[in-house]
Amino acid sequence: MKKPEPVQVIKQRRDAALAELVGGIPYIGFLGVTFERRGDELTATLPYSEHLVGNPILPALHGGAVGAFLEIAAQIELGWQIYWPQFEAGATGPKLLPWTTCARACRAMPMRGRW
Amino acid sequence: MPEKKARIARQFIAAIPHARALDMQVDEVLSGQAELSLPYSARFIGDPETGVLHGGVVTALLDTAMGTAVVSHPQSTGGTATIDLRIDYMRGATPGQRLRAEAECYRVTRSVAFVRATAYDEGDEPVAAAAGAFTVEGAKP
Repeated sequence: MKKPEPVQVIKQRRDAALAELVGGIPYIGFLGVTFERRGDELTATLPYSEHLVGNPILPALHGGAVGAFLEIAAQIELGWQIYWPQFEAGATGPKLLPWTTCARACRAMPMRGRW
Repeated sequence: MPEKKARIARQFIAAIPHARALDMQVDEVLSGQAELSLPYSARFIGDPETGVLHGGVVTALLDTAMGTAVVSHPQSTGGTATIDLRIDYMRGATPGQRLRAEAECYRVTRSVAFVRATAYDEGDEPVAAAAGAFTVEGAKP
């Protein structure tokens, strides 16, 4: 019987794959979107930042920032679903595609996104 | 009074932190119409292999141009917020080129403005097209 991999090795491999997927895209860093991983499940977070505000009086986030956040959450989730079986089988090198998005007004506060 | 509208529109953009963060500028404002643009920047890249801008940058520029078209409409006297926005992406914006958006507010009711917009790089073929609904503040009944 094959010896199971240590949990830490599995976690490191998956975290490294996620970091590779997310870290290569400058605009994700510009907006400040982060990803939390539980197994193969991802949760995207857009921490509140002044540069995301679209209406300072309400205050509300910019519809374009919310749209971009949704787009990034979808883009990374899709890339993750495609990449997951590859790196679990030992391959490296993610490939992403362009996507679509939609938006609405949102209160100026941290957001969470999940597929 | 197009000059007054243009001034209001520039103030509207200058007061938006996200528009400033993306270096957006107002190129032209007419009654219910707006043209905005932003410079290419490595910070806004979505595909590091090609250098193509992230779709979210296109979204943000279209959304802002559409909001500007709403506030410059004669029936609007206040701000606006996005209710609904859908976008067709047709191709990636050419790396290194400015991104430009033309928006037109073609219908205003008491509380909702309907807007369409198109994004271009420095070429004539569209990068993306948008249709949306925005809130109207201070509309005349």
